[in-house]
Amino acid sequence: MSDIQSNIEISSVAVGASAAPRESSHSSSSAPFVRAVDAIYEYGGNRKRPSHTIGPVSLTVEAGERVALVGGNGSGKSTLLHLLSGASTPVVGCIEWFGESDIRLVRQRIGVVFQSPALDALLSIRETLLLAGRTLRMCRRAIASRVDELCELLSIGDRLDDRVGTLSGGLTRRVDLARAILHRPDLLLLDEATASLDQHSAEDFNAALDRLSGEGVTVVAATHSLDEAGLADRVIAMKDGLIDFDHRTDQSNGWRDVSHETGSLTIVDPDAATVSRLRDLGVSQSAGVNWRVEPGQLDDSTLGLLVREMSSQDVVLQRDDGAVSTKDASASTVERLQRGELS
Amino acid sequence: MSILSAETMDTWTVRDREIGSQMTVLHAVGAMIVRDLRLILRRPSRIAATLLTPTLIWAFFAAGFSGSLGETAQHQSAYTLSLAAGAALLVVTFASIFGALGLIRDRESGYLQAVLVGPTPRWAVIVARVASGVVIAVGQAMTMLGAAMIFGEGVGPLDLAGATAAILLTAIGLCGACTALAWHFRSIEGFHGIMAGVLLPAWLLSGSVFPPGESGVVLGVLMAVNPLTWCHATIAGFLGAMPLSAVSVSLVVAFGVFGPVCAVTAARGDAKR
Repeated sequence: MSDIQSNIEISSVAVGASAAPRESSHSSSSAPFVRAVDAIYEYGGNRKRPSHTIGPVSLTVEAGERVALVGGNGSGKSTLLHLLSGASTPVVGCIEWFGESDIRLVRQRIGVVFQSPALDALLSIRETLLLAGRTLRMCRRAIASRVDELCELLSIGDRLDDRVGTLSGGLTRRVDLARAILHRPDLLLLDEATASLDQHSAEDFNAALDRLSGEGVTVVAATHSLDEAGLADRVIAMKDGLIDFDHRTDQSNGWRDVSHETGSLTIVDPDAATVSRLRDLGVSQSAGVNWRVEPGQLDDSTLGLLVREMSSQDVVLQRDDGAVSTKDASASTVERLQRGELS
Repeated sequence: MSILSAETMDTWTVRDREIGSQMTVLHAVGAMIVRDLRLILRRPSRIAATLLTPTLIWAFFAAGFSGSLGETAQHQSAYTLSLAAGAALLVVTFASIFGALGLIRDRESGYLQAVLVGPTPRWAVIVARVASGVVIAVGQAMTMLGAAMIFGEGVGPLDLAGATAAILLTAIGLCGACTALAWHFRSIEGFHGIMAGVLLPAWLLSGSVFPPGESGVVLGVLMAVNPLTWCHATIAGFLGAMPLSAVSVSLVVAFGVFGPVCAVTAARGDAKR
């Protein structure tokens, strides 16, 4: 266990522009979206001697946040998501959703995408969404209208009458996402939803998530992907069933702020290993000892990864606007992720 | 200035949700039943598997034993009708087993979990599962009853209606009981043990193959406590293969109530854990 407090409660704090709580359709209550208080869950073995335990876990997720839950296999990410979805109940402690402790009162405000798609291969996309809408207790007209919207949002319109079993993995995932957000949930929970997707499909899926996040949906996603974690406003890492660290990425010298649209990026006097890495990426030396990434030279994903790598190695970066990176708490976070301690 | 204040808009959003939640849960149950029926109709092999075995058993037993059982045509006809009732009971048993396996498959695939984290209550999921199993079981068992009308002498529409009602109650009880058992299983392999060790022996000891009176003491006791024995006796009684008793009819009605109660209780108990 690290020296970082495993049982931490993060209260609502002001966050930067990139992670600002967005306007949401939830009721006017100021209660946090999800709050776990000293939640412990036991499973496996028998009730007297469970073989696995997660917790105590305490965390608070605020409206509009996009949270990435990272950690190795068996670290407790999925179990924590199950607790947050109400699919499992903690043996000790409690979970609250929108200020309610009874999940039955708020199930209609939560959408869940599980690790494997919860779809019937023999049903068409349209039948799948109609069924999902009915089990979400929506009326037929509302379902039809929402399906039209989702066809546009997720680009599934041209395959609406095809059976799910005939779809590609990426499209199946998007249908699963459509199922989960059909009822316009305020809170969306995803359990390694892109784990089985290739890079292109994962990017499509994440683009859809970006749009949802932009619409104000609060997203909590378990993931093994550093790229996906980098897209989040906040990264929570799990280890041995406990929260290892909980960090807001907007404090991390521009993980999210750097893109090819923000201008060039100067890498100040990199060491030999970094130079080699830059050469691999096709980045050229500018003047003196500095290296420079020009706008559009790298795609955003690669650029984001590069920035995280450089930050973790204490390489100084400078943006066009003069902002200079410094090694802060987030750098150690990234460093640990890079070392594979959390994956 | 906007006519609608932010507060009004917020209230409308909440009201929309409330309208949504007022949609009767029966719509959800209906949708889940339709889903199960669609999946069955799109898997013809499952229908064939349910019907083929009972048909073959009926045909082979009827042909094999017809020469050795009775001297008179009346005995042979009664045995054929008793086997028809047994075949219908086996169809219901298979349909219930397949329904239970479908529930476990839904759990494995994540479909069940996706429904359970939604606003549909557990009891509705159970009711839908039992109801779709009953529709499938009764529909398939009717083919056996149709054959019984062809081969059996003196089976009238009223007899058929009585036998259908008995099959309906049997299907409700058996689908409920199988659903209750399946709710606790996490793998299809685990339920195979129940199928091979409990359900199929229960059918063999139901009087479908040999009458209760001609078995030993131990088998006689096992058959007396076996609910499928009463089910078979009632179906066969309506078909005229044996005398119809009020006791067996009452027990079948009780079984029809017991099964779904077990299923709903299992789901509620699981929810508390």
